[in-house]
Amino acid sequence: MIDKLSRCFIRAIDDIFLGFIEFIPEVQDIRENTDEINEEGTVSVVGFVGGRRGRAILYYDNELLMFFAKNMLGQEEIDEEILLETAAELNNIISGNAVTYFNDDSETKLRLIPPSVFSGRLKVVSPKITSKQIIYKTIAGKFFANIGLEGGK
Amino acid sequence: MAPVYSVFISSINEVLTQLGLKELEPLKLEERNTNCCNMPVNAVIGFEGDMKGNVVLGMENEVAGQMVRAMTMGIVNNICDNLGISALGELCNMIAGTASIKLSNIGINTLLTPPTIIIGEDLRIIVSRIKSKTVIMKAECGVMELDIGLWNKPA
Repeated sequence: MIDKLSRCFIRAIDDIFLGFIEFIPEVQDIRENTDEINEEGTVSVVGFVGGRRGRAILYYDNELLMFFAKNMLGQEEIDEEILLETAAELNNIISGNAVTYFNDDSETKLRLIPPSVFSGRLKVVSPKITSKQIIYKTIAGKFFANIGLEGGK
Repeated sequence: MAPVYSVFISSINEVLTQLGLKELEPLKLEERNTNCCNMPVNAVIGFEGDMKGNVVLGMENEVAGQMVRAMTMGIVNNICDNLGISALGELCNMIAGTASIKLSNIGINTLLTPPTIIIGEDLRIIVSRIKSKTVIMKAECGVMELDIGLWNKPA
């Protein structure tokens, strides 16, 4: 199930990057069971419940987030709060689309929780989660998605 | 909202006393424009069902250390390693589970996400873009914040 959900996230990420910044990011690596994130930047966490419990964590370099915010809002002046809001909104759209793709083609239905956003020098850990980390190469800094489900694959 | 935050406070105290820790003393109730938390150690738990949103348990490092010690019966003393973080995650899961049962007893049915632990100094956090209730509580060795950003789902 984690493989299928990860594929849905990859599709949703491609769509959203293309839609907002006209660029499809390249998947560089996919790592299994990386349940710890230790980075400086912004992460957005969105939980899901329903047939399975889990969460998706999207990590953005602030440079990439700034690029998104400028393109989405069409303005040059972006303050910190707008950056955090941008991360929340992106995660909302990406996770919303990914879960819709997943639910359309699965008997297990997932429902989303609104996103939470954290910025700074972070350590993020989700105990008891089986996860896949999809690492991307983008035009403006690091980006990855960590998709996790509780209780095995 | 009053019954909801009192449910969470009683759930925290119920779990802490089971572990042999003292009950927390509520110091202050604040209403914040965004559901945010300013603590170095944070556990985020999502709620879905009759009420939807996120609850954050934020705490100082010393408080987190004390809880980890209690959970592991003194084997682990801090949250510097994954065992400590896992213990803290489990404790938050127990608190959220207890709160979910208590909410169900008053007719509010919810589903929970697994807790995500976020650690860092000077974090900037937005948990939900709604007004939230924050209860600041005094623990034996520091301060803990309970930030409740839940809203009723339309019928």
